[in-house]
Amino acid sequence: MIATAIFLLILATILTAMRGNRRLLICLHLVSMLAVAMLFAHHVTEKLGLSF
Amino acid sequence: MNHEQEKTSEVIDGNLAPLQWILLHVQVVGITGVLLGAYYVQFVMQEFPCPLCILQRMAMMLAAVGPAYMLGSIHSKKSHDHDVLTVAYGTSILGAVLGLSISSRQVLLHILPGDDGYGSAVMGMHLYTWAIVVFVVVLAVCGLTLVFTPRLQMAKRSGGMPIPTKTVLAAFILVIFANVVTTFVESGFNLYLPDSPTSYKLIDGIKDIGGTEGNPS
Repeated sequence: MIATAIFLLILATILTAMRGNRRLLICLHLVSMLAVAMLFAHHVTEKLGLSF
Repeated sequence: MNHEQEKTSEVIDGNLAPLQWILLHVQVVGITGVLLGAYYVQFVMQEFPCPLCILQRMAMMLAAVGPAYMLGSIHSKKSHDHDVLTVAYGTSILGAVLGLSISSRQVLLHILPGDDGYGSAVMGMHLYTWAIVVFVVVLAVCGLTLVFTPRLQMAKRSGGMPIPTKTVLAAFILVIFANVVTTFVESGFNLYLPDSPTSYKLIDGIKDIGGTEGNPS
């Protein structure tokens, strides 16, 4: 469900991009990037039992 | 003209502006095509995408946000200045760097001799290796475009968005929406996608409910 939510966030980012709203685009893009990076961190570290 | 005035002034067409217009469309079409190719592997070759594959799809979409923004901006009623290009290519570079990290990690997971890798190879390479190629190409295109910005810059277009642009952007949005649906079907109501998926969890859940209702014992 987290992955689905991120796809929805990316969809919102693209729709904002097409409307030309620059500030909102930058915010949504950075939030999407952060969400993808965090999900990536989860998938690469969960089996190792690492904690940061 | 001082720097501040130059920054906020309207952009004029460079002598290679038509090439830039084509390049923006090719970038969005290219990434849409790659995402459709992933769907071909998923549904025709019957292979389930792993969490890292899904993350690479996300990064590809984020790398195509920039060109989509530029196409939207040159046809919008809002002002179109030099910052549009920097924001567009900055977002694409960020998306491509994130995607490159994810796909490199997956290549390293399967790089040892004797490991067959995840899924089938397509034209000699696995999809995550092709993803590296895609992200490197995106970075190269962004770099070259920034180097040749004065020649490639595009002025605002009058009138509405042309049909080719509308079609390209609509196809891209449809592919993202399709990913929303298929990822939900794959994960079901679980928080995370399974590491090595072998079925669609939502369909399994529906079958389980149907089976329980049919066999109350």
